[in-house]
Amino acid sequence: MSATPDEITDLFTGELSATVRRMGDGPVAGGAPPEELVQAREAVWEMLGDLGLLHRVTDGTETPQELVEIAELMGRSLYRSLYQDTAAAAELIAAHGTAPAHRGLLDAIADGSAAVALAPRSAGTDDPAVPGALRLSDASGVLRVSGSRRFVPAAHEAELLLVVGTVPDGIALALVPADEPGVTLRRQYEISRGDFHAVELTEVPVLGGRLLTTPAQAVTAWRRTVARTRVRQAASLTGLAQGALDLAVERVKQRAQFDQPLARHQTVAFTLAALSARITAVRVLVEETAHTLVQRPDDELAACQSLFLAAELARDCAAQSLHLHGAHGMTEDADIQLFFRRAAVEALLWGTPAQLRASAADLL
Amino acid sequence: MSTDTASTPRGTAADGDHWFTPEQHAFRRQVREFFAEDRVRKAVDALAEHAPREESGLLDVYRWLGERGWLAAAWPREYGGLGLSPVEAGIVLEEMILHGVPEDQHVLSIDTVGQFLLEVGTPEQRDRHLPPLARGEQIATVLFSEPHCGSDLAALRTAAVPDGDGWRLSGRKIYNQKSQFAEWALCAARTTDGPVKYHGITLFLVPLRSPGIVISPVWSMGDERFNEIVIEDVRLTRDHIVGGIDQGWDLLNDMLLLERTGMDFQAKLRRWLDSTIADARRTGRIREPAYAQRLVDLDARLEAGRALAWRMVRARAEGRADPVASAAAKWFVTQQSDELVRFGSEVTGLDGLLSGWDAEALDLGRPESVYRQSPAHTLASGTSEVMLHIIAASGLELFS
Ligand SMILES: Cc1cc2nc3c(=O)[nH]c(=O)nc-3n(C[C@H](O)[C@H](O)[C@H](O)COP(=O)(O)OP(=O)(O)OC[C@H]3O[C@@H](n4cnc5c(N)ncnc54)[C@H](O)[C@@H]3O)c2cc1C
Repeated sequence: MSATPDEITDLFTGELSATVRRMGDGPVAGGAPPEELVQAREAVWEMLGDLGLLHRVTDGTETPQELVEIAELMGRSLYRSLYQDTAAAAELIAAHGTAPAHRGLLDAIADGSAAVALAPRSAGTDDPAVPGALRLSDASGVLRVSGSRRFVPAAHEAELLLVVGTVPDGIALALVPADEPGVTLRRQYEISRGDFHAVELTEVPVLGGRLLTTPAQAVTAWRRTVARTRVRQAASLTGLAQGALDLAVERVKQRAQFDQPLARHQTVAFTLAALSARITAVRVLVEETAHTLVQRPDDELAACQSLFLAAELARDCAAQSLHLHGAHGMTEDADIQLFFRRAAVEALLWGTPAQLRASAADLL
Repeated sequence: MSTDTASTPRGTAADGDHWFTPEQHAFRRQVREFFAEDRVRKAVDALAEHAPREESGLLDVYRWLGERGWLAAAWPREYGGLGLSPVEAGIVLEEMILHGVPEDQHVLSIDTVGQFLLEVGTPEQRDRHLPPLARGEQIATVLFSEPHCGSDLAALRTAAVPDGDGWRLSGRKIYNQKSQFAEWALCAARTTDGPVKYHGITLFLVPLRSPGIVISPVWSMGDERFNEIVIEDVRLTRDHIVGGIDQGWDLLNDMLLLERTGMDFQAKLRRWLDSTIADARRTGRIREPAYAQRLVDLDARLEAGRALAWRMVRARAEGRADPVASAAAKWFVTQQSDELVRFGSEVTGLDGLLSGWDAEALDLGRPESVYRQSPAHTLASGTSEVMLHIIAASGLELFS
């Protein structure tokens, strides 16, 4: 039984899903995405707010099953938004934010009027579990933050950035309004043609005048957030794998070579069947991990393992499904190449499989 | 990483490839000296600085290679070559790719169309077409695939209908590359209808700048566009036929099977792997077992792929080419491509996925471009499944 409202399932798997897929794909030659795509994204975001998805995150009623299903649906249609980041930030704020500004922010997140982008990486090689360095200062009694961040998703659409950084006594969790004068954004151009930004922070005042929690306590808090975010990401990648497989299944039924549909050639059919079996297995592992983390929020091993298996799966599904499309799969008209390019980035975002395996090995 | 560093094939620096003669080692050194010349390095660097999708047509480097007779080193002198063996030609191709020179034009114009003409073209066709190709002054492309058939090429529908002493050619060809820069293309078309689809196919050398031919781009996620070519009623004569009427299918099989050495693919993958290893050194990741072990593994597989590709070249030089081993070489080498780009991106991290549009892109965005291009290898020049079919059918005789 699905725990997800039908409207959400329809949005990400129904007729609109082809539009949603293209929504996250920017122009080929750099530059900003066309206005209609931006508007379509805003409309979908509003719909998610109206359906109360983030409300369930802020008030802690989102179940593990919902967490996984929603992330998977979003991954399956390549939906690109600040949903995952905002959900992760909301959980942290709900658990630790004591300033009035933090409580106000939670309300705004719940009704969809505030989105948060997570900013833990100071370089593309960083594992977000080990955030980049950050400088804090409190001249004239105002707490300020300075540093560089890379691969901050949709920073231009975020009301706030949750800047996460390593400081001498632990980890700083600093919320900053994205429109502060000390914040400068530059769009980054990468293989998935998404909306990542490089962010420079120069003496930016921290929301509410304080960090979300003390740097010492934030070490555990961030570790747990990373574990939960890895599960969301693993679910999203499982969805991406499924979305790629769906396209390949459709294609091989339609395309005939050697006088019969490609689907009738056993090597083709078995390749897709094997991918489907892997998706089933990884999906179950991810669901189990989401449940486990409720009881054992420090079970980083399960989160790492779920994520690297899902990351490998997503890249395999995208590459093999593209291959089965033939040369057509490489053309701009073919949606499968969106999956291929997107999988490249999403598979690395919350730790590369090599980093995750190394972390998992330490925990085994 | 820098664009002007070339990979050194294992052993060649120390003349370690045991099968080369001293003359061939000396030839490789000469070729490397050429690629180290200032003007050549600058021209190659300028290519690397192209924005993504800014595609090159005729290249100066090709002309310079052509001036020395190296672009088609194995062709007779009268056609612009040096009359050397396929081994020397292989050395040029390998070095070219290791030094970052795009090889598509070479593979299409010299190794495919030119080679067809050399082996089965008429003396007039050779005289007319081979010298400008060997000088790097013209490009010739390949029009085989059609919208409804790629793997099953014999199902092609482009037809040449008899018309007096010639034919009228009509049809649609797709996924060919570089045709926007080319004068001539080798086109497979049906000349005789019959119950067996493999019979009745003829190869024509088609003038692309003819009325009746419309070339349109089909944009690819790679940096090089595909073309769709609509051919309507283009008049051809006997002079345009390559290798005999209705002989196309046998020629295609014989020639393509023999030409497939895996050399171009292995050199390309070697260059990528070496730049990944260089990056792992720069970031210190080479010392972490998680990275080192996979890199060593990929290195070993590419060494095997290179050895295999060179075996194929030498076999060709000795006139005993082996289609099954050639298919194995193409399959084995290109099979590494996906893992290589993926693992490469784990070494470079997200930075390696920044495109050439980004000011902070690693190596001018080359790793990202290579990633986008990677699915091409198991599709172009015969898909992996077509290679496996050859091995299964002819090598293991599983279907007999
Ligand atoms: C970079 C690039 C450059 C190219 N350049 C040229 C060019 O210059 N000129 C030209 O004419 N063409 C060119 N092509 C086209 C190329 O020849 C075709 O892509 C190739 O022949 C496969 O055909 P297809 O793309 O139509 O795929 P399809 O034949 O539709 O096959 C789709 C997939 O199904 C698999 N498949 C097919 N049949 C079977 C089977 N019986 N059993 C198992 N699997 C099967 C294929 O391997 C493939 O993965 C190029 C392609 C690429 C990617």
